Amino acid sequence: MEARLIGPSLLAFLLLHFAVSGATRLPLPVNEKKAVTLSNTVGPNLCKFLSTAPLEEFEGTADGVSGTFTIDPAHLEATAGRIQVTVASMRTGITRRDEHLRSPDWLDAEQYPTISFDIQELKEVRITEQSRDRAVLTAKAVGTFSLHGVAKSMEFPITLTYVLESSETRKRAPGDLVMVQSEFTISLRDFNIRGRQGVIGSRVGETIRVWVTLYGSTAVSPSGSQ
Amino acid sequence: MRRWKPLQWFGAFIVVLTAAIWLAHGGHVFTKDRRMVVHREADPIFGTTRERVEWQPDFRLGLDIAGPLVAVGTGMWFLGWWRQRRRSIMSHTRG
Repeated sequence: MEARLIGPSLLAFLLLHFAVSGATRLPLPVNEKKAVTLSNTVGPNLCKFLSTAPLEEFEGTADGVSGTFTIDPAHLEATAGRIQVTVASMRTGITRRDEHLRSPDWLDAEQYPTISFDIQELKEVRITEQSRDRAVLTAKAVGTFSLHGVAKSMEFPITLTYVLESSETRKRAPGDLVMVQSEFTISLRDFNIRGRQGVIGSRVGETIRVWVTLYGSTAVSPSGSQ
Repeated sequence: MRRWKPLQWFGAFIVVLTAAIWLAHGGHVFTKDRRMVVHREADPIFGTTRERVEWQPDFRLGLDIAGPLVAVGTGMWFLGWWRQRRRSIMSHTRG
């Protein structure tokens, strides 16, 4: 091969390689895979949900959130892990309704104590903001959502903010810090949640809007200690 | 006659008081015993606002309790009115 063809051929090969592999790099000086563990010392991990029905609209929260996921800075699409929320940590503002929520008619906390999302990959990753020590990206998290004993393949839109460790971040927690936000809707029917006769559609919405905010660090244990 | 008049007034008092409390508590359908309080603060590390939520004890009367109370009050008022009316008719007939 002539020397003048080597340059364009190499460029074409690299372009093709990245087009086929679809790998997006984290635009920060991070070289190895990082395991992110959710921790309330970084920020309050929280799920908020809203039910809208003709008789009542109510908001609730669940703060029993835990999990870990791995970020490959050279291939963000390969992000994988597991996030889970305990049903017992759900609150709606009415103690009796919280008890009903955990009962066998609804989420059946005894048999299915957690709601989980197993992240298999990210797709449509886009870097939306970057600076010397912080990068923000949007993506769709693809995985299996398990609720009430029903596992369903789902995609959730996420915004992930990655902050490099600095003297400022160390005041909160050691390691690089990560925040993930997501907003999505789930249908109760899809997860075989039927409730008491006639309640869904009148007092409880057929679909539930969910907002999730997760905070984690690459250097803390789940309990929050270093 | 004297016994039924106070019952009628007591019934009306229950209805008015319950309706006033229910309206003052926001006119909810279901009685609430906790209120969600959201604390928001700027988060310079992530460049967003951080939200912390806590549930505080807070009683809000709903229609599920207010409704039956109003029904009982209305019943008492009606019973008092009806008994008074009956006695009045009977005393007229006797006279």
